[in-house]
Parts: sequence; structure tokens; C-alpha cells
Amino acid sequence: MNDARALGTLGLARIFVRFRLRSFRNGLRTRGRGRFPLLVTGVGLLLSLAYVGLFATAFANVAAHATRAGQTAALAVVAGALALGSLGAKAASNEAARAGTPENEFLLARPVSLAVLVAARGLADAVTDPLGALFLLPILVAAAIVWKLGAAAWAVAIATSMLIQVTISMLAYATQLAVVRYVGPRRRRAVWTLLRLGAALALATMWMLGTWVLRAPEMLARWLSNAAPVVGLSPPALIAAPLAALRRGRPAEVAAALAALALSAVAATLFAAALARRAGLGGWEEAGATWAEASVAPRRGRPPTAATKDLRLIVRDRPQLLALVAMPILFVGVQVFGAAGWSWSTGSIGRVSCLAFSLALYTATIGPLAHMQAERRAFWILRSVPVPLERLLAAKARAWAAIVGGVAALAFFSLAFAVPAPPVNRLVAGLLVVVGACWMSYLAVAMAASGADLSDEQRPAVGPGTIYTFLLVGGLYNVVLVGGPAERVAGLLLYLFVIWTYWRVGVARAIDCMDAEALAARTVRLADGAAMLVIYAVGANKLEPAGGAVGVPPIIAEGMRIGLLLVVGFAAAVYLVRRPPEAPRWGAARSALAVLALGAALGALAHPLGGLPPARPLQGLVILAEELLYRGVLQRALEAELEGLGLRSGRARVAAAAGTVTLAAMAGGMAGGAAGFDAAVVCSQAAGAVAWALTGRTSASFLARLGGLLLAAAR
Amino acid sequence: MIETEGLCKRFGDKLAVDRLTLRVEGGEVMGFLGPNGSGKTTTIRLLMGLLRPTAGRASILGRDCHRDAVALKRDVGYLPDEPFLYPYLSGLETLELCGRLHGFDPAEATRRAAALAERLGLGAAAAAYTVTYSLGQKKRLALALSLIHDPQVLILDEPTNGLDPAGARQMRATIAELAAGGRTIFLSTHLLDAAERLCHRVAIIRDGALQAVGTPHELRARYEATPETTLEELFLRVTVGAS
Repeated sequence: MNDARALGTLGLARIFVRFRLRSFRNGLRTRGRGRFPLLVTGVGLLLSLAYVGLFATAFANVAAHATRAGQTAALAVVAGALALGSLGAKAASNEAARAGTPENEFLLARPVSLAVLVAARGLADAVTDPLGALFLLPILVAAAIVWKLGAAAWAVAIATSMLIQVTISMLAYATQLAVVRYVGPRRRRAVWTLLRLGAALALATMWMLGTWVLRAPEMLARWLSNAAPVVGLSPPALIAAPLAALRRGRPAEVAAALAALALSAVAATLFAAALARRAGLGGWEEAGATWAEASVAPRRGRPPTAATKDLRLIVRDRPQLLALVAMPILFVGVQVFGAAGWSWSTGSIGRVSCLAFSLALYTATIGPLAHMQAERRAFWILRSVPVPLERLLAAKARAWAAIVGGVAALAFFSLAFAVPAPPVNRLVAGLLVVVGACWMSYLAVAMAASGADLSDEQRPAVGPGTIYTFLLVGGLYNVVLVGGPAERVAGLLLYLFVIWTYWRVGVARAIDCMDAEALAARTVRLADGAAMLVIYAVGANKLEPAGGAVGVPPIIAEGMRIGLLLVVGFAAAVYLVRRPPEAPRWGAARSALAVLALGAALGALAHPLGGLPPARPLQGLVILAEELLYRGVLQRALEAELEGLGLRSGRARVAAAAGTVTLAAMAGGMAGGAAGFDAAVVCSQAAGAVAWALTGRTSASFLARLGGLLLAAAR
Repeated sequence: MIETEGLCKRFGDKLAVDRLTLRVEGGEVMGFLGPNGSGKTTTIRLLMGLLRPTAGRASILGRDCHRDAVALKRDVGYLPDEPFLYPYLSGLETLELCGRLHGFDPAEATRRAAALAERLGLGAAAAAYTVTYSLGQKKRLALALSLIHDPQVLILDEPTNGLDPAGARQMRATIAELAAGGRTIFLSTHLLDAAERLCHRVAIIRDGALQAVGTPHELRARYEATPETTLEELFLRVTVGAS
């Protein structure tokens, strides 16, 4: 007979905490792919710090205009909106109530009751997921900073956040249990969807509130000061109460306010546990299981094709459909009626273009960029038919282009009517937006195929790196929409190059996406070079206006541009070190001769052109960074790609050299304005390209350009 | 018909398939046996061009499985060990999709889909979303998918794995019917009695390397077993006893 004691709530919570932390630690320690959690943690911490700064700035803005009561009301309103959004999101993510999750199956097979499981999980969340209630802690910390409350306030903020976290977790679990127990399977999906929509609306409200702070702080402060008595009586006032009491210098009131929050956490825990006990396991076994919640038979239609299959899957997958339809509407609503305001948003065709394109970009991010996640398990079907994968991917991209382009067209033409501009300008801008949006669908499909790893069931098919790169390319197209004429041309050429590159790489990688060995092979990929190039071009292009907006002198902005180039060059160096080295074509002596000849030619040519920068120690590093990027990664990968397309070796060398010189001019043009198109700079790039094409050595191209620069300076 | 020569597949340090040389003749049913993790599924994925060989080559009907992977699939049907499907397409829609991808016009795809659903006993479930299917129904639908283009060669990875006795028997009967139709079948299975009944020859693999190949009769002779020795005993002798 087993006389072991039954596990209580606190005991189980302790086990949860211990094993979650251990699992997290093991994730950090794992080599190779396990570095991802470390990166996520680092980015998460940085983001939290950034949010503290952002909230502190916004809150200081309110504090400058509002009464004391108004400031407390502002904290309560923002924290309340966050708590509501967090509650909705947590309740809608029905993981906890899903019997099929491995953790639930594992735990419910032990002598653990549902009530204990729910309560323990909520308590553990408070410890292991300190930002579970979204950005509540950064907001409270920001308020403590603005009110200059000292270190004690941080402890109060942490305690408040943890207690609210427990309350939110418990209420979310209670909601999930109630839905599972009392709503029939067929209606459950609708309820989950509604909860998600509610969460999104709460967050959109908070976002609008936040942007009002920046746009019209006085108006908001006046409104909050007037509303303070009403807000003070609402539940969110409980969240702001401990810090407000500390600000008044009344420790007893702080303790009382924290005790009230603790009471609400206990009440929520008891409520969730009681509901769990009453619910038993009723409805639990099928909760969240798609088979139970899907309608039995779809209506018969025409046989699906590779393209229409995706559309059918989207329409029938209600949560994804909601994300595709409701989220963009919220996005536009927040932007037009909150962040920027109607008159600003429709102030020019360029702004409307940017807004419409951003909306399309967002749709593409949650649509075609996520398609490999949907394909993850059924990809074998597409791989066992006699159709080239490229054609299947193109069909998929065409179907998505209709949606993404349609969203862009709808947003652009419904906002553009308010802009006083000639119809031709509107039409041309609209076409640019729609065409760009359609191409983004191709890029999304290609990037997802390129980044997907279907050999490992545990990893998401598309990682955050792919998503950020995708958004960055979207940023490049924004330059095409609103930049100067030269920037537009340069941006468009770079944009088309990136799409072509990713398409080629995406198709090639999709063929291997189920093969762990092929995915792990490290090769110099043209798409990686293109991503580095875009980071430099877009980043540098945005640095100057961003610097100008906050009063940074042009020389500092130029320094930041060079700094960015050096960072990209360093990234290229690290990238190259981890891959097989280049295969030199010429020996050292012959290469040295080529370096001397090309350096001399460049020195002789550049001097009369007069466009090369002065020879300074930093200039050597700049050239090295450029050579690592343009020759080490781009020219090498482009040459291989062109040979793969059937071009003979000699022609591929010439084309790759000409291609990288053009790319360098385009990126330089975007990054540094007209200087990028300067004849001497182009000559310098050409010398590097020819040196590499002949010798196959990045060191040779670097020395040729450096020698040329020194010679030109000596003259 | 199906031929591998020195076929190797490495995943990091692990050699999943080790210099596999094998030949399956036209119209033959070849059983591919081996313990869990012995490299059966990897071999099958190499044959289907889903994985790139580290060394060696594989071909079906004279076409290289990696270089001609697309054209190859006109004549090859494939049933994976875990046949995941698009959750929000019905069985009929999934069959029609495959038919369209194989180049049939909509009417022909619909006709073939309905006929196969009927033949493999999907019944009313054919019109329901595949997310509502049991494992047996999924396997039957996946087998139907592999037959939509009436291929000459069938590659079946553990077709009876996870099925109840009735489902397994039905699946065996279907495979026997397909074999009787003259198709070449490469069948990976754990059910040794089924392999003995269905297959003309069996190949036994362990740690990625081929241990034995031949008819059950030949294997008994080679391992000096009596005619009463079951294939299971032979299998254990080759895969466990040898180690």
C-alpha cells in the first residue's frame, strides 16, 4: 500500500517553479540551437528596460500637466487596461484547459486534483513569469521613477505586479474552466475567439491611450484629472493604490493596499479552485481538441488546388481568420484615430502610402510568413507529388498576394480620397503600394521556406530572426514609397534583389527543410548577404532623419553610419569564420601582383575624380568591413548562385563582380545620399570586385582598395 | 525497379543509414524489417527524395531519387509512418487536392477521389474534416492519397503501425490486393507474420546497415533454422542475437 502524502497546492507550485527554472537553465546551457533562449531572454530584458524608459517618459509627460489625483488615475487606467488585456489574452490561450497538452496529460495521470493543479499553476506563474501580466511591472517601475519614490517603491511595484499576476492567472484559469465546463464543444471556438478579440481591443485601447500621451498630453491630463474621482472607485484603482500611498508617505496605507491586493489574489485562487472542484473533469478531455470543436463536414465545392487549399484552410481556421481580419482593422484604428490622428495620417499621399503598406506588411507577417507553420506536418503531401516545389510555392504566393495586395489597395484608396492630390499621383502611389505589397507575399513565402526547419518538431517553423528580417525589408520598401528620387531608385533595386535572392534560396531550402543534416550545413548564402546589406542600407538611411529629429549634429550621424557599417562588417566576419573558407584562385605571388596593379590603377583614377575620402586609420576599417560584406559574402554567394543558374564560370565571375558593384552603389546611395553614387567610390568598389574575381581572396580586394586610397591621398 | 548502392545518411555524428545496397525487382513485394531506430524511415525518406543522401545513390524505375525527385513521383506512391494531414480539409478534398497536384482535371480528380474513398472504406468520414479522423481513418486516407495516380511503385512506411487488429487486417488485405495487381511494393513493418505472408523477400536492417536479405526460406537456410522457425525468431536472431 502506498502511504505517500497527497500533494498540496503549495507543494505542487514549488515543483512547478523548480522544474520550470531548471528547464530554463538547461535551455540556456544547451549549445548550438540552445542559444536561442539566451537571445530571447537578453532581448526580453532589454525590451523591458526600454519599456521602463518609454513609460517613464510618457508618464512624466502626464505628470507635468495633471493633478496628483489625475496622475494616480492615469496609472490606474493604464494598469487596468493592461491587466484586462492580459486577462483576456491568458483566458483565450486555452493551453491550461487543454487536456491534450503534454503537461496536463502527465499531471492528471498523477494523484493531483484539478483544483490543486489550477491553483498551483497560477502561483507558479507569478514566480516564473514575472512579465506574464504584460508590461505591468515596467509601468509600475516607471511611475516609481517619475514620482522619485526610491528603492522601496521597486519592492512595492514587484509585490503589486506579482499579486496582480496571481489574480489574473487565477481568473483566466477560472474563465477557461467555465468555458470548458459550461459551453458546448461546437460553440467553444467562438468563445475563445471572442476572448482573443476582447484582449486585442483592451490592448488597442491602451496603445491609443499611450499615444495620446505623446500627441495631446494636456488634453489627456485634463480629462484624467476630471475623471479621477470615478477612476478612484473602479477596480483598477487597487493596482495604483500601493504606489500612490507610498507617494503620500503613508506606510500603513501601503500595507493596507498590498493586503487588499493579496486578498483579491486569495479570493481569485479560491474561486478558481472551487470552480475546478465543481467542474471536475467535465468537458476537460475534449477541451481545445480541434476534432471536438470543428464542425463535422464542410460544404462541397470545387476540388482545391495548391493555392486555393491555403485560402480554404484560412477561412476554416477561425482564430487565424480573426487575426487576419480584426487585427489589421485594430491596427488602422489605433494608427488613424490614436497614434497619429486622422489629419496627420491623411496629410500627404506619402503618409497614406506608408500606412497602407504597413498594414499589408502586418497582414503578410501573420499570413504568408506563417504558412510553413501550417505546412509543418502535412508537408509530405506537397513533397510526394510530381510538381516542382517552386511552382507550388509560387501558387501559394499568388494566392496570398491577392489578399495582401487587396488589403493594401483597400486601405490606400479608402484613405487617399481625403488627401488633396492630383488623381494621377494618387494612382501611381496606389500602384506602388499594391505592387510592393504583392511582392511582400512572395518574399514572405520565400523567407518562410528559407527559414523553416521541419526536421525538428519542437521548434517553431519560422523563428523571430526571419520575422525581423522580413519587417526590415518592409522598411526598405517604405524608403521606396517616401524617399527622394535617388533613394527610391536605389531602394527599389535593392528590394527587387532581396526578393529574387530570397526566392532562390527559399526554393532551394524548402527542398531540404525536412533534412536536419542539410539544414545544419553552413554555407555562404546569398540571402544572408542580402539581409546584412539591407540592415546597413535601411539602418543608415534612417539614422540621419532620426538623429536630426532629436537634434544630433550631422557629424555624429555620419559617425553612427560608419559605426553601423563596422558592426555589419564584424557580423560578416563572424559569419565567414563559421563557414568553409573561400577557395583562392590565384597563388600569393600572383595575387600580390594583381593587388599592386589594381591599387595603382585605382590611385591614378581616383585622384582626378576626387571623390575618395581622406586616408585615415578608420577608413581602413571601413574598407575592410565593406570588403567582408561585398566580397566575402555577397560576391562569393552571387557567383555561386549564378553558376547554379547555368552561367559559365567566367561569365558568372563578371556578372557577380558587376552585380556587387551595383549593389554597393545602391546601398551606399541609400546610406550616404549622393556620395554612394560618386564615380571615385564606384571605381574603388570596382577595383575590389575585380581583385576578388581574379584572386578569390577578400584580403586581395581589401589591399587593392586600401592601396588605391593611400596612393590617391599621397597625390 | 528500386535500387540503392552504398547509400549513406548521416545526422551529425550518427550514421542513420550505412552503405545500404539493395535491389527490388518489378512486381516484387519487399519487406523492410528492423528494430526501432534502425534507419527504416530514413531509408524510405531517402527513396522519396525527402532527404539528401550523404553518400551513395538510390533510384526507382531508373530515376535518381534525389536529382529526379519530382519526376519520380509520377510513378511512386508514398505512405508515411505518421500521416499528418491538413486539419481543415475533408478527406475528399485532400484526395482531390492530390489529384489536382498530379495533374488531373477537376472532374477526374473528383471521380478518382470518390472512387478511392469508396474502395478504402472511408464512407461518410470522407466528407468530414480530417482533424476528426481516428488513426485508422488517417492511415486509410493516406494510403488512398498514395494511390490517387495509380502508381507502379508503392513505398509504405509502417502502414499497420498503431492500428487495431481489425484495421491492421483490413490494411493487410488492401496491400495484398495491390500486390496482386502487379505493383512493386517496398514495405516497412514490424508485423513479421504479415511480412511473411505478404512479402516475396525481406531485408533486415540494424544500426543502418543491411544484415540479411532474401526470401524467408532462404533466410532460414542461411541461418540454419528449421522450417518451423518463424520469421520473428529469425528476425531476433539477426537483430538481437547477432549483437
